[in-house]
Amino acid sequence: MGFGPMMSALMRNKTGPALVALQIAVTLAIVINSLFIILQRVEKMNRDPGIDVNNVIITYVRGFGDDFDVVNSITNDIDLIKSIPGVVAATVSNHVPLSGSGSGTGLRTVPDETIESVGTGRYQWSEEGLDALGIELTRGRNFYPEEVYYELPETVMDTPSVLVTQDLADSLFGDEDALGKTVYWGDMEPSTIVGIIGHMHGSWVNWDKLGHVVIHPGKPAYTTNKYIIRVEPGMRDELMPIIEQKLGESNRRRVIKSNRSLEELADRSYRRDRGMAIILSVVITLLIGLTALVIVGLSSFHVTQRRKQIGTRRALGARRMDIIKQFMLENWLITTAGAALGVVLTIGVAYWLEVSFELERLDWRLLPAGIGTLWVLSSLAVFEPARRAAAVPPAVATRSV
Amino acid sequence: MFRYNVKLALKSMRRNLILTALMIAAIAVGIGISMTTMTVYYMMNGNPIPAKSDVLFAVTMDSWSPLRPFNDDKPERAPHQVTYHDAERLLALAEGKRQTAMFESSLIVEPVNEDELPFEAGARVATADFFTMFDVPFIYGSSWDQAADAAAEPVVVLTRQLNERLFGGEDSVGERLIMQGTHFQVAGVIDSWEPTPRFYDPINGAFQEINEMFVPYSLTLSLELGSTGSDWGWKAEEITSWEQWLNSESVWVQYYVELDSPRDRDAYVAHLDAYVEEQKRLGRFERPMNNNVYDVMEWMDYHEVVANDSKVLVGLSFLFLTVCLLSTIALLLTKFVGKKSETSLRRALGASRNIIFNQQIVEVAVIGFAGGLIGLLLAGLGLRGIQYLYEAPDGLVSLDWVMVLAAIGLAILSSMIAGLYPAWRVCKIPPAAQLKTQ
Amino acid sequence: MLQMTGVKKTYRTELVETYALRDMTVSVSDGEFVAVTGSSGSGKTTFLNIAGLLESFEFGTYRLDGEDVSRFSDDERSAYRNQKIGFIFQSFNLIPDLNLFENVDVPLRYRRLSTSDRKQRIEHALETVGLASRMKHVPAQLSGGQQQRVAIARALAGDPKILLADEPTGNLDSTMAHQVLDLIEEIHANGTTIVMVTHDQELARRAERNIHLLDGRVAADEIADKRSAAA
Repeated sequence: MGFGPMMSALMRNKTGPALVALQIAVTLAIVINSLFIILQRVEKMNRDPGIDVNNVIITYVRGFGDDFDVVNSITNDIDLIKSIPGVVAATVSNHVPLSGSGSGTGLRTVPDETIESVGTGRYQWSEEGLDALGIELTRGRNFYPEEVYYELPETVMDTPSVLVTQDLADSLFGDEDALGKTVYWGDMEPSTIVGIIGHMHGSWVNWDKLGHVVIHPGKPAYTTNKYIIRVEPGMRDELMPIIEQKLGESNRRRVIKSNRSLEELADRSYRRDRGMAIILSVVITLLIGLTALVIVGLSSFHVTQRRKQIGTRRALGARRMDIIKQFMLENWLITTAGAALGVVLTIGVAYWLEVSFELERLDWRLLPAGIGTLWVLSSLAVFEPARRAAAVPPAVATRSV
Repeated sequence: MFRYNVKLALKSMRRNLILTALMIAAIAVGIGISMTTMTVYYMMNGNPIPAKSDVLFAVTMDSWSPLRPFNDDKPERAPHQVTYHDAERLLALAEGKRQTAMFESSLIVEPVNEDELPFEAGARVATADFFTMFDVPFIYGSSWDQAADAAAEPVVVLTRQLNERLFGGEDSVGERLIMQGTHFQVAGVIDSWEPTPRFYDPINGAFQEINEMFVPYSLTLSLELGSTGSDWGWKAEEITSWEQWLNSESVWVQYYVELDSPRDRDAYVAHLDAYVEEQKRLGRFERPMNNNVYDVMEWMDYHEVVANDSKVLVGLSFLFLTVCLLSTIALLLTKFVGKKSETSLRRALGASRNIIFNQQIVEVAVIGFAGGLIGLLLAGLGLRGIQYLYEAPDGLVSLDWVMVLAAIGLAILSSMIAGLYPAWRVCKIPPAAQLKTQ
Repeated sequence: MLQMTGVKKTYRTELVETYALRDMTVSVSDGEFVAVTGSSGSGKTTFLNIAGLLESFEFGTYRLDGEDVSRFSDDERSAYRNQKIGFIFQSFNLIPDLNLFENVDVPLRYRRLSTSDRKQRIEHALETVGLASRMKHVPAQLSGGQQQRVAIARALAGDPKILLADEPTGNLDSTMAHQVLDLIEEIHANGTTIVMVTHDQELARRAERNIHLLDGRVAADEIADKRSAAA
C-alpha cells in the first residue's frame, strides 16, 4: 500500500489520529522530564558517602540524676561494646554523619575574621573514629590516643591536630598540599592538618558542602552521648539487640534513647528524594500504560470499523503482510508526528520546570532515548490489532453487513 | 429530561463496556493523581489558625556578626531565633498583648512504677502565654499561670498521648512526676493538637510530631535544659559553664508575640528597635538595625514550608490530567461511529441538535462522575502511599470535604470539556442519514 | 396537506452535480393515501426526505399543513417532524437496547408531555398495532413484521398529521407484508394522510393514488384503477 493514499485517508479523518499524536507528545514530555528528575535523585542517593554504612550501628544514650558520672559511663559503655564479639571498633562522637543532625563551623587559612570562612561539618571523636565508620585516610596520620581527651561542657576546646577531607582541603588551599598546613577556627587556637581523608560525607545530605568535613580528637561527654559502632560484615542485625540489651543491663541510670543502624538513618535523610523518585515512577508507569491502552483500543476499533475495506483489499490481491505493513505505517506516521511535537513540548516543560522550580537543566541525551523507546512501544502496541486486521478473510468483501 | 438522559447514558455506556471502562479508568487515574498531589499541596499551604494568623508574629532581630550576614544567600535576613539573653529582656519588657519564648528540649522521665525503665520525652519549653496564644485545647486542667512562670515552678502540661502512657488517660491534674531528678506537678493535659503545618516551629520541621509535654521557660536556668533544636553562633566565645551558655550570642530561642491587630506591627517593631538601640550602647548588635516581625503565613513562606517537590508534582499532575482528557476525547470519538444510526433516527423523530448535544454531554458527565468516584479511591490510596514514603503526620494526608467535592467537580467539569467536541460532532449527524440509497 | 411547487434539489460533490429533483410539483390533500413509485435514481427517496423535512432544497416552495416550511431552520424542522410527521422506515430502525415501550416513547420525549399522558399514548398506540402485551420485550425478541408494527406504533403515538413510509414492507416476507399493509390501510381509514414510497407495483395499487417519478419530476399521477373501478 502506498504512502500517498494512506496520507490522504488519514487527512480525511484528521481528528482521531491528531488526538493520538497529541497524547503521545504530552506523554513524551512528562515521561522524559520525570525520568530526568528520577535519575537525578537516584544519582544523589547513590553518592558514595566514604563510610561503611551497612555495618555501622548508632546508639544514643543519656544518663540522668545529679550524681551521674558521664565520663565513667562512656568509658564503661565503650569498653562493654568493644568486648562483644563481632564488634570491630567503637567511639563516642558529637554527631553522626548522614543523620541529618550535625554541627557546622567555618575555617580559615589566616587568622583574619574579616575574610569569609569556608563552611564545613565538624566531628569530634576518638582515635577509633575512622575505624568505627570505615573511613579511609589517604594521607598523613590518624589521631594519637594521647591527643584524645574527654570534652565536657566546661572543658576548653584544645585542637592542635585535625583531619580534613580532600574537598575541604581543596576549598581552603586550592592546588597546594594541605598536609601540615594550619587552619584557624574563629579566634581560637589554630590547628594543624595532620591527615587527609579522600572522601567523606557529613550530616546534611542536601547541603552543597556535604563533602566538607573537619574532625578533631576528643570524646564529647554531653547530656546525650552518641556511640558509633562498626561490626563485622553480616553481623549487624544480629548484634544490634545484643548491644542494646547489654548496655541496658549494665547501668539503669543511663537510658538508651535509640539504637538504629546507620543505614536506617541515612535512608531517612534521603526520604524526600526516594519519595519523589517513587512517586514519579508510578506516574510514568500509569501514563505509559494509559497511552498504550488507548493506542491498542483505538487500533482495535479501527480494525473492526474497516473490516469490509480490508476484506476488499485482500480480495483484490493484498497479502497479509501488506495489511500489517499498512497498519504499522499508519501508526508510525502518527507516532512520528507525536514525537516531533513531543520534542518541542519536552523542551518547553523542561524550561518551565527549570525556571519555576529551580530544577536542573534537562540532559538532552534523554530525548533520543525517549523517542526510540516510544517508537518501539508504539509499534508493539499496534502489533496485535494489525495482526488481527491481517486475519480478516477476503470473503468479507462480498457480504453486505 | 435529565433523568431520561442519564438513563440513556447508562445504556450507551453498557453497549461498549471496554471503551467505557477505559474512559472511566483514564479519568480516574488523572483525578487520582491530581487530587493526591493537590491535597498535599493544599494542606501544606493551608492556614492552620485562620482566626489569628494575622496577629501572631515571629520576632527576628539581627544580633549577628558585624562581618557577614546570617544567611549569605539572603543577606537581608536576620537570624530566625534570638539569644537567651534577648528573650529574657523582651519577656520582661512585655510590649505585646501576649508573648512567649520557647525552644525544644528533652527530659528524662522516671516512671512511678519501679519496674519500668526511665525514658526520654521531648518537651517544648515555653512561657504560660503559649497556650492562649496558639489556641491549644485542654482536656484536663489548664496551663500554669504567670506566677508559676516567675517562680520557675516545676509544673508540666502533658499531651494526651503522654498522659495515656503515664496515667492511663485519667485526669492527672495535681499528680506528681519525677523528671531530671525533680518533682514536677501536672497542671493540665491538652487534647490532640496537630496543626498542619506546625506553624509555631517551622524551623525544626513543619511536619514533625508535636512535642510530648510543655514545661515553663524559666526552668531553663535552674534545670539546665539544653535545646535539642537548632542553634547557631557567630562569635568565638569561651563557653564552659551554663551561665556562659545562656549569656552567649548563640541564637536558639524562638520568640513570638500576639498583638491586638495587624496594624500594630510597626509600633511593635519600633519597640524592638528601641531595645536594640539600648543594646548597641552596650556593645552588642553591631550590625545595622534589622528587626522584623512575620505573621503566620509570612513565617511559613519564609521557611518555604511548601516543599519545592510538592509544587513540581502538582504541575506534572495537571499535565497528566491533560493526557487523560485527550484519551477521553479520542475514546469518545471512536464511540461516535456507533452512535450514527441511533442519532440520525432520533433526529428524524424530532430531536433538535440541542437535544442531541445535551444527551451527549450528560453521558460524558455521568462517565466523569464515575471516574471521579474511583479517582477519589485512588487518591486515598495515593495519600496513604505518600504518608508512608514521607513519614508524614495524619493531618497532612487526609481528604476533607472540600477536597472530595473538588475531586468530583473537577472530574465532571474536565470530562464535560473533553466531551464538547465529540458532542458537537454527534449533533451534526443529519437526520435519517441512511435513508439515502447507496 | 402537502404542497410542493417547483422544488429542485441538487447534490454536489467535487466533480459532479447530480439533479435529484428537477421540478417537483405535487399536491396531496388531507386524508389521501398516495403511493410514490419510480425506479432507482428517479428521486423518490429524495422526495420523501424533503417531504419529511429531513433535507433542505434550493428552489421552489413547500407547504405542509398550511404552513410554508421552505426556509425553516433546523430547530423548526425538528419540531415539525416531531409533532406533525410520522415516519416508517424500510429497516424498522428500532433501538435495540430499549424495549417496545421505550422505543415508542422516543419521539414523545421531545415534547412537553406529562408522564401519564405519554404512558397513555404509548399504550394506546401499541394496542392499535396489537402488541400491547409485549410492551416490555426488546426488538430482538420480535419477528420482522412485529418490529415494523412497533415502528408504526411509534409513528402514530404522536398523533401525526401525515405518515411517511419508505418501502414499509421491503424487508418482510409476504405474510407479514400483508399484515403491515392491512394496518396501514386501517390507519388511513381513520383519516390520516399517508404518503408511501415503494418500487413494488402491487403495493402501489393498494393506495388511492399513484404518483410515478422519472428523472426527478412527476411523470404520471393517476388515481388507482382499483378504487375507481370499485366506485
